Parts: sequence; C-alpha cells; structure tokens
Amino acid sequence: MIKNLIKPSTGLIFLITIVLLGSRLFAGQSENTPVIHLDQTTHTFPTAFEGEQLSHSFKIINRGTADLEILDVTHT
Amino acid sequence: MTRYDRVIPPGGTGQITLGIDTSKEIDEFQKKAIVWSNDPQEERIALFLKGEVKPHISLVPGGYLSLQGIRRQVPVEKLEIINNHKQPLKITAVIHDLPDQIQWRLKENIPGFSYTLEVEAISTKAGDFSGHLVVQTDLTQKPELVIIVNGYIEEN
Repeated sequence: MIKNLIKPSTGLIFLITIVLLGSRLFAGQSENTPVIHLDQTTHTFPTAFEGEQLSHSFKIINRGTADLEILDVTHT
Repeated sequence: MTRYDRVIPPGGTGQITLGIDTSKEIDEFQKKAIVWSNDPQEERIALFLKGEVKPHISLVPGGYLSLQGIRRQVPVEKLEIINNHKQPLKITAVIHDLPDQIQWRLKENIPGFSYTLEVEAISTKAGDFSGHLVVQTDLTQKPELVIIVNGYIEEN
C-alpha cells in the first residue's frame, strides 16, 4: 500500500524536476547573450599632412551576459 | 591597418583600431568599416573615420603646364607654389630636361611660403615637346616637386 503511494508521487516529482530543469535551461539560453555597445561610431581626425599614418581605437563594451565575439571587421 | 579584440567577456571592454594611410588620400576623406559580431540584436555596426589631408606643398592650379601657341608668341604659363607648413622652406634648385625649349623664373611672393614659377617657351622650332621641371626644396617631407611640361608650338 505504501509502495503504491510512493511510486506515483516519485514519478510526479521526477517529472516536475525534469520540466523545471528543462525550462530553466531553455530560459538560460535565451538570457545569456552578448550585447555590443560603442560610445562612439564616428571619429574625425584633425587635419593631417599627406604621408602621415593616422589611427584611432574605438572602445567596445559587452553589456550582455555571454562572451561577445568580434567575428570580422570589413572595409567598404 | 585594422586590429581588434576577438572575444570580450560579459561586462568587459575591448578595442577596434582602424588606420588610414594618408599617402593614398587627398583633401577630405571618409572611410567606413563594418564590425560583425555574435550579438543577435546587432550583428553589424558601421564605424566611420573622417578627416582632411593636406599636401605639404600645393601647386596651383596643378602640377602641369601647357605651353601652347605660335612660335615666339607663346604665352608665359605660371603656377603658384604654396608651403602649407608653419615653418618657412627654401627652394634650393629648379632643374628641367627641356634646355632648348623652355626657360623659367621664380618669384618670391611671401618668403618661405609662396612663390610663383613662370615658364616660357623659347623653342625656335615648331613642334611638340614634353618634359619635366623639378623644384627641389629643403623640406624633409617633400624634397622634390615634379611638374609636367608640355609644349605645342605652331608655325606662323
């Protein structure tokens, strides 16, 4: 009698646990994303003479919860 | 030249460094770069570099002279040489490869900063010619300016 009472409840708990774990895992996947942020996207250099090498560094911030990967930087 | 951090952890910062070779640019320029990332909301972001590149020495109206006309009546052609630096320069020599066709005079408008180069056709024969005038300066960044000279001399 006791065995019969335990068996269904154990099965139910197991099922609930699986559902909860699954939903948490799924929720975690959607929350853990990178978020790219740049304070500045345009830079204007002061007037330069021909032949000078000019360079500028843009700061990137990852405001997300997963690694931000810079896949490529292309020029147009 | 482009350098960038490949992976930036959550809350972290990184850099994208873009470079410009100004020997390939003149006047105003604008360069665009696209940053591709794994951010699902913003997979691409455009970055812009803007500026202006000046020559060390300007030739006005340009580095080309055309001497055209009837023999012994060819108008004198002029061009202005302008030093764009704050420090004065010296023109140390003017040489050319057209000894029988042209002669030149250099006038100093503003010493060290502005000169007028006058070129005159002295050819005694009708016909076309082409050559170079080289203006040499003491400016380290621009020791030579090459001016193309073309002549079209007609018979009377």
